[in-house]
Amino acid sequence: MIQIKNLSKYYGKSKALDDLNITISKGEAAALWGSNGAGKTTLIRCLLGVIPFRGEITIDNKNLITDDKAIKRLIGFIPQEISLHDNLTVEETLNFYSQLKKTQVTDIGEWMVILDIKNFEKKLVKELSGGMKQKLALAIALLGHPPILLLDEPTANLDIKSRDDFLHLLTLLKKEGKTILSSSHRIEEVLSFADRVLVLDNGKLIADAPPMEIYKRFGKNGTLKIFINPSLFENALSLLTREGYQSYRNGKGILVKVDPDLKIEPIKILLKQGISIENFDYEVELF
Amino acid sequence: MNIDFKNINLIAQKEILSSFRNKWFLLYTIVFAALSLALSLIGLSGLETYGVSGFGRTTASLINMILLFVPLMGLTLGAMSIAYERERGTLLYILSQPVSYFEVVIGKFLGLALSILGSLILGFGLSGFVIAYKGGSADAAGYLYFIFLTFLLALSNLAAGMFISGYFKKYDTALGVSIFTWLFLVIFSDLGIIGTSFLVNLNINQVFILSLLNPLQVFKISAIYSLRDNLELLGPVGIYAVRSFGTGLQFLLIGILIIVPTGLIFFTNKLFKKRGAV
Repeated sequence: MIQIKNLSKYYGKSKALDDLNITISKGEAAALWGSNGAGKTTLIRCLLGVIPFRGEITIDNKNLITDDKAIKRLIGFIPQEISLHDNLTVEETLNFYSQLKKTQVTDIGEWMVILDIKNFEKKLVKELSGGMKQKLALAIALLGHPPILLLDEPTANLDIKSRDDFLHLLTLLKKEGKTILSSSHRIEEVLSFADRVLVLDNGKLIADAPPMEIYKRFGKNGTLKIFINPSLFENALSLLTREGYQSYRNGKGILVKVDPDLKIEPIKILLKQGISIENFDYEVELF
Repeated sequence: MNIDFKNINLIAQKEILSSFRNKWFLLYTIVFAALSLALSLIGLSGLETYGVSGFGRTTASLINMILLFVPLMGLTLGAMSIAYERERGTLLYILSQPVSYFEVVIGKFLGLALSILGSLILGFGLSGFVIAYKGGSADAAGYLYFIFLTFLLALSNLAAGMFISGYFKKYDTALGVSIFTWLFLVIFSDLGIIGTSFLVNLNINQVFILSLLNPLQVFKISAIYSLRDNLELLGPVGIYAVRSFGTGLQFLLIGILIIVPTGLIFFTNKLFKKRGAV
């Protein structure tokens, strides 16, 4: 379905993508994994044909350079930062993109109901919350039922509940047979929907394997982010340091370096000392 | 190239909708309408003394205001068009749909051009209504021609603004360069021509050609010529222009005001495609 041959991309003299060769079959869900600056977003932008590149990309046996409009009709896209026109309403936005995609008008109502945004149709985009914007972006991406979804860190700005809902929907879409390429740096997301993981590092493809294999090979370290009352920061930090954890304050939380299999331990330590935890998050680090 | 006119129409419509919800555009429209109305009332104040050529007098008093205001409007709105959307990420969204760079550029240009036309018609319309109401209805055809010329001037500046917007990635930079371009066209080009003609001893033909490089000068020459049927007001260069080109002068000037935006939009498209959506 998607064939990438000798794909390279330069920004000035710096190489963002380095001679990539990737094939993604129809109905396959692939995750792009890599640290910031690895080239995930650049690869997705190349596949969308919105930036110039070297090499060849064919989608559904059509060349992206010569047949870009036909290819773009096959793709639904969600960017990392949802940037829609603030001064259009939800309804106007959906109408605009539906007409650009040449999809049925009934499609708009269908997705508004499925994604629960019908009540917001007369609101301006600038009045929507982050989660609602994400739903609107998803509705736009799914207009016309495209067989391919390109998702650039789609859950980056979502809370845990919205993230779970999104991943559930993604799993359903995968079952429908959609071909999915999604970048993420959260291993639990990758494990939940991906058939294979493409690991990028400095623009190079350094691994291409099933998620569990990638997790075993690369998932050695991680960062636990613990949210507690700021007045307890010093106490918590000294406790964790005393127990041998590398920890430091970051914004409204405490970051603790910890092995994925032992991530519950720092939480247990704090709870045992009566420090109540408001929220927490864990991210596996690649390298 | 396979052009989809429905896409152009759609993007133009979105641009018009956005313009009417854009505070800058609304401010320009209100200020232009207020200034036009004020100048037409001033023009009409001498109606009883100087006769009934209300439209002609108003047109004459509007020329200087238009030379300052319309280029600023065209340049800044054009400069905001691509760079702002590129910086915000909305261009990435639009271009990831089945639409070409050319369709986006033309759609934006047409949408903004029609929005500006609406703004101009409101301003000129208010003035025209006041003039007609006060009985100064002579030279209405000349007034309509003047509106047409002003629209062409706006198109040249809008296209220049979009070219700047296509080149610069940062919105602030594009806006800054557009304001500098406005200053250059309004002030420095006049001084530049005068200075250059003194320094290198330009002949009258060369001075005239230099003037034609600035759409504001082209507009001014055309507007004055349409009002007076001669260009003595502009001195020897004006007399030379009328003698050299005769009745063809207006066609030459209008031709320039059509070719300039067409060329600039052509290059904007090339530049935009080369730079990409981000």
